Amino acid sequence: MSTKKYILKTKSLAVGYQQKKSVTIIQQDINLQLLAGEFVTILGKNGIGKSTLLRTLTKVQEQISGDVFLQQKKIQSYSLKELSTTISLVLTEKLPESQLTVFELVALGRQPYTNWIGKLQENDIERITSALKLTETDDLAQKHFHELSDGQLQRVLIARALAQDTKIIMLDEPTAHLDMHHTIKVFQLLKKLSKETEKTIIITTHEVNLAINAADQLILLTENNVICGTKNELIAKDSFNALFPSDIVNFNASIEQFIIKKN
Amino acid sequence: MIQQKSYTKQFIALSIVLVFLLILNISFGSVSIPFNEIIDILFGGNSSKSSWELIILHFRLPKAITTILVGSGLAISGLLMQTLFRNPLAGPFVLGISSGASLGVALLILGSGIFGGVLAIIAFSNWGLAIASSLGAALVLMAILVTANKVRNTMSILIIGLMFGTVTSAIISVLTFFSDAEKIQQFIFWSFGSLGNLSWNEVLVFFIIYLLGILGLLKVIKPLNTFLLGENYSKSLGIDIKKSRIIILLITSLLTGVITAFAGPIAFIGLAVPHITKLVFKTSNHKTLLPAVAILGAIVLLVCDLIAQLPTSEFTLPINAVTSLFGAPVVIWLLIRKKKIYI
Repeated sequence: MSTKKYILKTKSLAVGYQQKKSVTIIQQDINLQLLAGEFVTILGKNGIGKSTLLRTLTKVQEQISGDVFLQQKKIQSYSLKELSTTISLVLTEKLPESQLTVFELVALGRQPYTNWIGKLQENDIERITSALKLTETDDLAQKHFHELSDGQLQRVLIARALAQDTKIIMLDEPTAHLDMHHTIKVFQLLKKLSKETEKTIIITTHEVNLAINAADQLILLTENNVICGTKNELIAKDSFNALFPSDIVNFNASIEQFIIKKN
Repeated sequence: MIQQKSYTKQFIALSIVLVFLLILNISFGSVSIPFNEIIDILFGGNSSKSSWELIILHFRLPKAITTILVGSGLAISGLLMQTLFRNPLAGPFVLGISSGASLGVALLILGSGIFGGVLAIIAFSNWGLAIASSLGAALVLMAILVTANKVRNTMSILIIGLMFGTVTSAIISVLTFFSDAEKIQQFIFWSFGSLGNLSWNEVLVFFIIYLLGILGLLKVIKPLNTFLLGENYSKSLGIDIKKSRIIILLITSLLTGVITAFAGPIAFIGLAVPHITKLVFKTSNHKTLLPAVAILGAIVLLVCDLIAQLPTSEFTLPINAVTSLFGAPVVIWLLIRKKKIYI
């Protein structure tokens, strides 16, 4: 076991907010061990700390205590520049309106590697092209991004993260604005990318039923603790039922899905 | 492999227009000089009249160069502010730099009436006005940089800039209230803006400071492009946002400060030219936009200056009035036709 190289690891990590003197801990004692090529989903109800955890894992926010290791190295020792070649992001926030084309948008993912004026070398263009192909957005390349549908835009943003060529891609609720069809498509895409590119892909999501079946590892944020494991490990421990209050939805272990409770 | 768009043709066309307008601008004036004489003088030959040589080399040429510097500098500053604040209504003067400059000049001109003495002597020299407005602009600049260092939210800087503007305008109103008509007229004339009257020495100082600003741009082309995705993405691409923001504010302040110092508060160009450029080039990439706004800014101001001196050939209209009178309808027309604007 000890020969395994963890891409991302946390040791008794506590996340939350620090204001001058008062400290608000949202979740603590988080121990994660994520490998290359894994598709990982972070689940939990609203306000339980999913985004706080994601922000701490990307150094946007500082941890309260404990450690985050990226490729065996403490996250604090990463410079902005090093971090940008290790983790790429897909956020929920709306992009400001501009006339960027899909190609230019994806090309921005190459910024950490380009020279002072941002000139794209052959290698950069290859990366961009392959990112567009992997996400099946190559036929959109010359369109302006504001002309795209939500589903197309999400795939383009994933292409941008791919072009950034990082070991880890983190996505904050990548299916938030999508219909059922496109939601499933994004899940399939992310799963496929994690296998084909050997990248660790971590998402927060409310699509619990899809996540349970697609993820290699699930991170459950509950009122009492943070549990991490494969689907079967978590079913064996009956951890899924701790995810939501039991009055409306329940986890059904035989079909491995959450179902709405009948009155 | 997917091709990137190339804008070589547009740039060649714009450069030709720029050179054409530059020659046209030098050709027109209250004294008519034959075209072949102008070409002779420009290329170092001798003219049949020495007064023509004086007019071309010591009046029209520095004026044309000033026009190009002012036009391009204002357009670049406007673009920087629109991208930094992600706001299409931002212009070079949102930071209150020109208000600061106006305050400096108002204190000098109006103050000389109220307090008299040495101020009165300085108030009548060109350098006096330039130094006063530079000091005013520098004061506001320092206030902005201090707040930019303290405030995390970029939008707050925008509002604080607007507040600086309001306060300085109020102080100018108070000064005006206590001044006599002659001084007020002198101040109003300054606020009309003026591209002429600069000696070669002044043009040189102008150019050096302008160049400092332009050199700074090289540091921010990449950050500017990532700002198009918002600050969070920008940071995740390895950009030090605070540092980039301060460099952008410094460049804008330098350019608008020196422009206001030598040419007065020239309206409209900084707000409108970036929009015209984005409509023409249909891109948001700053590698293309920055040189494009610079050339278009120079072109638009050269045209405005031509209009200002054309009508009767005896009079010269205030440049500030022309930029707005001629420019605003053009922008309105463009926007109605295209319907959508972008930052």
